[in-house]
Amino acid sequence: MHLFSRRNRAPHLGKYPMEKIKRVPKTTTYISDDVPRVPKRANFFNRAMLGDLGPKAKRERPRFVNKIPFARAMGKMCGKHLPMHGGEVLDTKAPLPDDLTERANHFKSLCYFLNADVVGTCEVPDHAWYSHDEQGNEIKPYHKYAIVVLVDQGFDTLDAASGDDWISNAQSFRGYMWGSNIACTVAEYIRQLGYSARAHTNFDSDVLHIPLVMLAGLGELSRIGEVVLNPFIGPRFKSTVITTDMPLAADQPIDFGLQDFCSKCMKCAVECPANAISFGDKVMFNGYEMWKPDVAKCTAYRVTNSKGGGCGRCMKMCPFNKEGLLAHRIALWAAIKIPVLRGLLARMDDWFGYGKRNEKKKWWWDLEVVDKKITVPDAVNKRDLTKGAKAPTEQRLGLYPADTIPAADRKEAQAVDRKEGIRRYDQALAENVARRAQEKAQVK
Amino acid sequence: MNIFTRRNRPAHMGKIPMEKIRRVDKPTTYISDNVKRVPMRANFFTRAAMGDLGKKAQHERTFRFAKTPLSVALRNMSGTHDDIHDGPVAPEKAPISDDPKEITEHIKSMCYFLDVDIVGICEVPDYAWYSHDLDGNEIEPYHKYAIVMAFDQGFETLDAASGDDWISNAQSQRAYLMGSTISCVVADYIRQLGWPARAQTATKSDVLHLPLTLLAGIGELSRIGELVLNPFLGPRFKTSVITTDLPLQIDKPIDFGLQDFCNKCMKCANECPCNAISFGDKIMYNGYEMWKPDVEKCTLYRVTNQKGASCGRCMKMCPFNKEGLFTHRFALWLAIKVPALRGFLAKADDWFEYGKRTIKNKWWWDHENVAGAYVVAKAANERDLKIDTRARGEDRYAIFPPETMPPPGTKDPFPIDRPQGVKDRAAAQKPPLKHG
Repeated sequence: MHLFSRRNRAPHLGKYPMEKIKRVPKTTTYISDDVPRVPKRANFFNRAMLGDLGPKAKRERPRFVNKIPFARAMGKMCGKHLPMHGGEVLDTKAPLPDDLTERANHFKSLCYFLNADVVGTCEVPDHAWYSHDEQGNEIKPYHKYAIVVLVDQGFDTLDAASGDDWISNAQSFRGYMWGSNIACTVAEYIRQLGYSARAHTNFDSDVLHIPLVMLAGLGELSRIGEVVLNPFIGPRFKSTVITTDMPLAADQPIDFGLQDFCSKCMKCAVECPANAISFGDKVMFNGYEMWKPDVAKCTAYRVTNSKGGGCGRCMKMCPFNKEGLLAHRIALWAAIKIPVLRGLLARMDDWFGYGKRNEKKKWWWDLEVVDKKITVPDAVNKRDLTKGAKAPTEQRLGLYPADTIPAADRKEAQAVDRKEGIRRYDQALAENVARRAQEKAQVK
Repeated sequence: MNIFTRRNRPAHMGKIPMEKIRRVDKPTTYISDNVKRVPMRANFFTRAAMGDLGKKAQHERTFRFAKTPLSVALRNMSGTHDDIHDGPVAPEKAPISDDPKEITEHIKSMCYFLDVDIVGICEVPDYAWYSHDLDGNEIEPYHKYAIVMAFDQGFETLDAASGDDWISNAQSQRAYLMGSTISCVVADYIRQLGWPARAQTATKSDVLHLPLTLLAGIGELSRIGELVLNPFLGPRFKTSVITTDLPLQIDKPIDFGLQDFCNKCMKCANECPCNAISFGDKIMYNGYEMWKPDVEKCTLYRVTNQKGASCGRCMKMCPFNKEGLFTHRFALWLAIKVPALRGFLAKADDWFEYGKRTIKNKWWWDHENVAGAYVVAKAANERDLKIDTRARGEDRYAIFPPETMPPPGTKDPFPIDRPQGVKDRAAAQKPPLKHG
C-alpha cells in the first residue's frame, strides 16, 4: 500500500530511484587497460569440481546445491531453460525505432514488467568475455551490447537467516531462477525481432557479470570483493545478462561514495565465517584495483559448509542490506551526501543490532539430502552479531591471478598453491601502494 | 518504500492482508450438488483450435494466437516446463512435521518467498477435475488437496493498455510463466518430501481453476462470469495450482460483498468489446448460480482480434483493478462495509475516469506476425471509457450447457449450435430462491 501514485513515473525507471544516484564516466573501481581474459576453467566453482581445492571440496561440490531439496527443485527448473539461452534468429528484422535511448528504455521497461529489480545497459568490453569455454574452446566476443538485470534475493527470508544456514543456496537459486526467466525471455524476444541475442545466467554464461554490473551503472565494487553493491538493495541480489548485437544506448557507472564507505566499514570482513574478506587495502588484481577476497577460502567454505548449504553471510551482514524503510532511505542519503558520517553510520549498524536473525520469520525446514534420502542435518549455523571485533593482526589471504590459473582445457586437478598465493597477495598490496604513489607523483 | 516495518508479519501471511476479509463456510456463489464434470475438449480455446467456431477462428487460434514477439518468447519459455509438471515421488517420506497447520504455513511461506501474490488451499471436489483429457481418456480424480496461487498481472502495464491491444496476450503469458515456474518447483519439492504432487498450469491442467480459486478463499465469482475477483487485486490475476496428497490445512471461501457490488455495477458488461458479459441477473449454469458470459463470443473475439492480441478488457475496466494506494484501500473498505454505498462507488469509478489509458506509460511496441515476419500492426484498439451505459444484445446471448458439448476426445470439428444456445440461455433456470 502506498500513499502516492506511481502513474507519473516512466516505466523504464523501475521501482528504485536510481536516477537520483550520481553518474560518472568511469567506474569508481580503477580498471587498467590490460585486464587479462580468463577461461571458465578458472572459475573457482569449476576448480573445486575438478579437484583443485582438494578431495573434500571435490566430493562436496556436486551436492552442495542439491543437498537442499528446495534448491534442487529450482536447479532443475533452471536446467529446463538451458536450451532457451541461445537460439535461432528470425530472418527478417522487425521495424524498430532508430533512437537508441528509446530502444534501451523499451528493454528496461520490459525487464521491469518481468519483475526485474534494477536494469541497466552497457557495451561489453573484451575483458568481460571468458577466453575459453569449459571444453577449452576459444570464445570470440560476439555481441557488442549488454542488458544487465538485478534480481533482489528478498529481504524477508534473509532477515531470518544467518547467511550460511540451510536456506542460503535456495536464496541464491531463487535469484538465479528469476534471472533465468527474465534473461531467456528477453533474449528470445530479441531473436524474434530479428537480432542475435543470448542469455547469460549463472547456469550458462560466456561473460563475467561483475564488470558488466558496474559498467551498466547498477552498483560499485565493495569490500566484499567479488560482490557489487547497489545503493538500494545492497549486495542482496543476483545478476543476469542478455548480450545482443541490437544497438542500444549505454548507461554510465554510478558513484554513491561506496569506496570511501567500505574503507571505513569492516562488517563483512569481521563476520565472514571463512575469514576470506580483506581487512586491509585494495590490491591490483588482473587489472582491477579492488579489495580482493581469498577466493579459495571462500569457495571451500561454501562448498564444504556442513552446517548449511552455501554461504552469503557477507550479503546478510552488510549495512546496505536493509528493508528499505523511510528511515533507511534517510540513512542512505546521509551516507551518500555526508562523507564524514560514513564511519559513524557503519558503527551504528552494530549498535542497532542489524544483522541479528529475526527468528520468528524462519519458515524453511532444515533438511539435507544424504545418500538420496532426506534427513534432518546435525547442525545449523546460528550466527548473530560479532560485536566489537577488530581486524586480526595478521590475516593471511591468497591471491590467484590470471598467470597462476590452470590451462583452459585442463581436465585434471591443479592444486591451488596457497603459499604462492599468499606471496602474491603481499606482492599485489605492495604493487598497488607503488602504483598509487606513482599516480600521485604524476599529478603533482 | 514503506514507513513501517513488516518484520513482525508472519511469513505465511504474505504481503496482502487477506486475513482482514471475512471467511464463510460456502462460496458466495451457490454451487449445487450436481455439477457435471466436463472434458478438456469442451474448453473453448480447444474448441476454437478444433474448428468448432469456424475456419477463421481455427486458423487464427492455431497459427496466430501468439502473434506478438513477446508472447512467443514467453510461451516458448513456459513450453520448456512441459515434462516437469509431475515426476517420481521419493520412496521414503522426509522427517517433517505431521501437523497439517505447520506444513501449510511452510508451503505458503515458500510460495510467498517465490513471489506468489496470494496462496490459498482447499480440497478438490470431484467436479473440479476434467472428466476426460484431450485424447478422450477418462481422468480419475487423483489428489485430495489443491494449493491455489494467484499472480498479479501488474498494474502499471495494464494502466497504459486498453485491455485488447498488442500487449494483452503477453500480460497473460507473463503471469502464466511465473505460475508455471513456481508451481513446477513447489510440486517438485513436495515430491522430494515423499508425497505426490502435480503442477496444474495454464499450459497443462487436469483441474478447472475457477472453483478451486473460490474454494481456497482467493476471491468471489464476479459479473464477468468466468473470472474470480480478489478484493485487493481485483480481476487482475492469473492462477496456477498444485494438486497433492500432502496433508494440509484448508482455507475457507471469502465474502467481501461482491455479489451485491456486481449487481449494482455494469462496467465490465458495458465495456466488453464483444458484448459477451451479461447485464442481467444470474442464471443457473451447470450447477452454478452465476452471471454466465457468452463464451463463444468471448473466445471468438479474443482469438480473431485484429487490432490487438487477445483481450482482457473486463479485467482492465473493473473498478477493483486499482493501484492499491491508501485511498483505494479506503474505498475498498467502504465497498465492503457499507453496502448502501456500492452503487455509488461503482458510478464514482467512471466520474474519476478510472479505466482511461495512461498513454505516456505505454512502453511496448505494436508488432504483429504476418506471414512469418514481424511488422508494425496497422491498427491498435485504443479504447478509453464508454460514458453511456445500456444493455446491448441481452436477448441474443447464448450459453452452452454440458450436454451440448463435444464428446471427449473428438478430433473433428463439432460446430457450435448458436440458435440452440440462445434458446438454452432463455430457458436457463432461475436460481433457487433459497439456497440449500
